[in-house]
Amino acid sequence: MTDPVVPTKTILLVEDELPFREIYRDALSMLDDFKVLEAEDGEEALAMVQKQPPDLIMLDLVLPQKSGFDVLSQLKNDAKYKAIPIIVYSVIGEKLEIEKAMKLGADDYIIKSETPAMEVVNKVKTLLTGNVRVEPASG
Amino acid sequence: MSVSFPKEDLRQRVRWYLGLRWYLVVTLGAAGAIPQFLQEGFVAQVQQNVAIILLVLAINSVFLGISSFRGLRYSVYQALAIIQLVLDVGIVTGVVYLNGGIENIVVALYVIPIIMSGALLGRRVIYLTGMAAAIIYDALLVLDYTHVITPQNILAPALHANGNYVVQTLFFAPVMLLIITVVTDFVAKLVRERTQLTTKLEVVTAERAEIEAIIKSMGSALVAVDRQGKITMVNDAFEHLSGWARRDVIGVDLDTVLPLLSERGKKIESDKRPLLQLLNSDPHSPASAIQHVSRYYYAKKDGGIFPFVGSVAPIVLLGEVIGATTVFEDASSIKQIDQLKTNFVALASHQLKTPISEIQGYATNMLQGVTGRLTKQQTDYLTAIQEITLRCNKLITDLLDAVVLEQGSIRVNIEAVQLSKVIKRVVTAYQARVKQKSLKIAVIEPEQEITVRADGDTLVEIIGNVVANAVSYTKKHTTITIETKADGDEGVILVRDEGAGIDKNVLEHLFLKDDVLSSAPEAEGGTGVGLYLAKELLSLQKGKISVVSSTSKGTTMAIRIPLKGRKHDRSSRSN
Repeated sequence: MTDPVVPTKTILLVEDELPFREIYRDALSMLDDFKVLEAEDGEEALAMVQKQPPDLIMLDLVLPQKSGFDVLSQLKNDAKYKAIPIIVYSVIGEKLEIEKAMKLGADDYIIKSETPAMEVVNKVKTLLTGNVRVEPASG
Repeated sequence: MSVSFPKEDLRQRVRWYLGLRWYLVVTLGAAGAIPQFLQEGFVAQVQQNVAIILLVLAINSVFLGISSFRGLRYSVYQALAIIQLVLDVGIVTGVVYLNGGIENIVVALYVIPIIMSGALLGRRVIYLTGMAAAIIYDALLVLDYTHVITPQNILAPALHANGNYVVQTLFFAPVMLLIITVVTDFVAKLVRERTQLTTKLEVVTAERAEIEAIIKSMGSALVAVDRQGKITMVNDAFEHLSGWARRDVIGVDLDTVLPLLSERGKKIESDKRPLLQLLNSDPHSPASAIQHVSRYYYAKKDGGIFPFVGSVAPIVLLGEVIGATTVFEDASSIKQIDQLKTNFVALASHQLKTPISEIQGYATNMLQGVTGRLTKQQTDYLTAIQEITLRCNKLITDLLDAVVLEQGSIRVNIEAVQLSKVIKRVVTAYQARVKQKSLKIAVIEPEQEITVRADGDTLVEIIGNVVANAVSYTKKHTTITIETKADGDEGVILVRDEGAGIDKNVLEHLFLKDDVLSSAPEAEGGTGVGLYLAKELLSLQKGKISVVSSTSKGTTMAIRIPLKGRKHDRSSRSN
C-alpha cells in the first residue's frame, strides 16, 4: 500500500530474539512517521548508532556479544549520543536490574512480560514528543 | 516333681545333696564310731567301719569338688548324684552282706542321705522308699523289743547287737525322717529360687545389654537429658556427628555440648530451645509434646555447624517427666538437594516467562491492528489468548515468589506507605481483568489518608492476589468492594465480593500451599499459591489476613497491617 508519509524518524530496536523483534517492530510500525531499524547484538547496535544516530533506542538488557548495560553506559557516557532517549527492557524485571539501568542513564524501562507491546508504543510516543526536533519543511 | 530344670539349679541341688550328705557322714560316722571304738572287742569292726567311712568320705569329697565347677554339662551333674546314690546303695548292701546283717549305724549313715537325695533331686520315689524302709525297720525294732517277733537272719545282728533301742528308734523315727525330708525340701526350694533369681538377673542383664547395643548402633544420633538439662545418654552416631566423646558429655549441660543455632547462625537460648522446653510438658500426654524439628543447626565440638532434621520428645516414667530425648540426622545432603530443586524450579519458571511474553506480544499486536482488521471471532480468540497468558504469567511470578520465600531470602523493605496509592495501583492492575468479567470495583476510603508501615510493592501484590481470588469466586455483573479504614493500631483493607461464598472445606485450605481452588465451582484455575503467598508475605510485615464467607453474603477478606506510628523496625528480612 502506498504510504504518503515518509518516515522521518528512526528507532533502533536492539533485541536478540526474533519473536520479540517481530512483535516490537510490528507494534512500532503503527507509528506512521517512524522507521524501525534492527540490531541483534550489542556490537551491531553500537555500529549502527555510529553510522546513523537514531531518534530513540529500544535496548534489551540481555544481549550476546555485549550486554545491554555495556551498550547503555557507553552511549550515555558519549557526548555525541547522550541525548538519544533509551528505553531498556528485559524479561527479568527485577528491581535491582531496573535500578541499575536507570542509574546508568536509561530514560525509561519496560518489563517485557508485563507490558503489552502497545504500551511500549505509547511510551515511545511520549518520550519522543518531548524531543521534537525542528525539521526543515521538506521531508 | 520337675524332671528338667536349669543346669545351674541342678548343679546347686547336687551340691547341696553331696554337701549335706558329707556333713551327715562325718557327724553320724563320728557319733557311731566313737562309742563303738570305746567298747573293746569291736576294734576290728570299728577299724573296718572307720575305713569304710573314710573311703566314702573321700569319694564324696571328690564328687563335691567336681560339682563346684560351673558350666559343666547337664549330664555331669546328674551323673555325680546318681553315682553317689548307687554307691550308697551298693555300700549298704555290701556292709549288710559283710556283717551278715544290717548294722544300724551303717544303715543310718546311708538311709538318711538317700532320703535327702530323693528330696533334693526331686525324686519322690527315692525318699519315699527310704522312709518306708525306715518305718519298717522301726516297726521291727519295736516288735522285737516287745518280743512280739523274733527276727531272723539279716535283721538279727542289728537288733540284738546294741540294746539301745531308744537311740535306734530315734534314728529311724519316721518323724525325724519326715523332718529331714521337709527341711531338705525347703532347702531345695531355696536353691531353686536362688538359681531362678540368678537366671532372671542374667536375662535382664542380657536384655539390657541388647537394648544398649541397639541404642549404641543406631544410625541416627540420640541424646537424652535429665530434668536439669544435663546429658544422661548419647550413642555412637552422636559421637561421630558432634565430635564429642561419650565420657566427656555425660552430666554436662546440653547447651555447652550441643548448642542450637538458627538458620542465620544465631544461638537459640536455653529457654527457647524445643528440647529443653519439653521438660515442662504434660506427663499425661507425652505424645502431644513430640515435635519434629528442621531449619535448625547444631554446632560441633570443633565449632563447625551442620543442618539437621529430627524430633524431640519427653521421657515419661511413672507419670512424671524425667527428661527428654532427641533423635536427629545430618541434613546437609537433604538441604543440598532441596536447594538444587529450588534452584531448578526458579530457573524453569524464569525461562517460562520469555515464551509467554512472546505469545502475549503477538496477540496484543494483532488486537491492536498490526496485522489488519480482525473479525469478531478473531478478536475474541485473541482476547482469550491474552487473558490466558496473563494468568500464566501471574502463576509463574507467584511460583517464583513462593520458591524465593521458601528459601527464606525474600526481603521486604518496610517504610511508610499510603494506602490510597496502593489501592490505586491494585485497581489499575486489575482494571482490564475486572472489565472482562463484567465486574465493577468500588473503592471506599476514609477522608484522612491512612499510612501504614509496609513494603509497598508486596502490599500491592498481596491485595492483588486477594482481588484475583475475589474475581474467581464472584458472580458476573457484581461489584467487588475494596474498603480501607484504620482500626486501633492497624490499617485494615477489606475486599468484599458478592459471590456464592467459599465452601467450608476450601476455606480451611485457602491459605495453604496445596491447590484446592481447582475444585471450586467457578475457579478460573487460580494460582493455588496466590493466597498462601499473600499470607506469608503479610506475616513478614507483621500483618494478618482473615476471611469470612457465607453463601448469602459472599466473601470478605480482611488484611491487617500495622499503622505507621506503631513501634516497628525499619527494614526486616524474613526469619
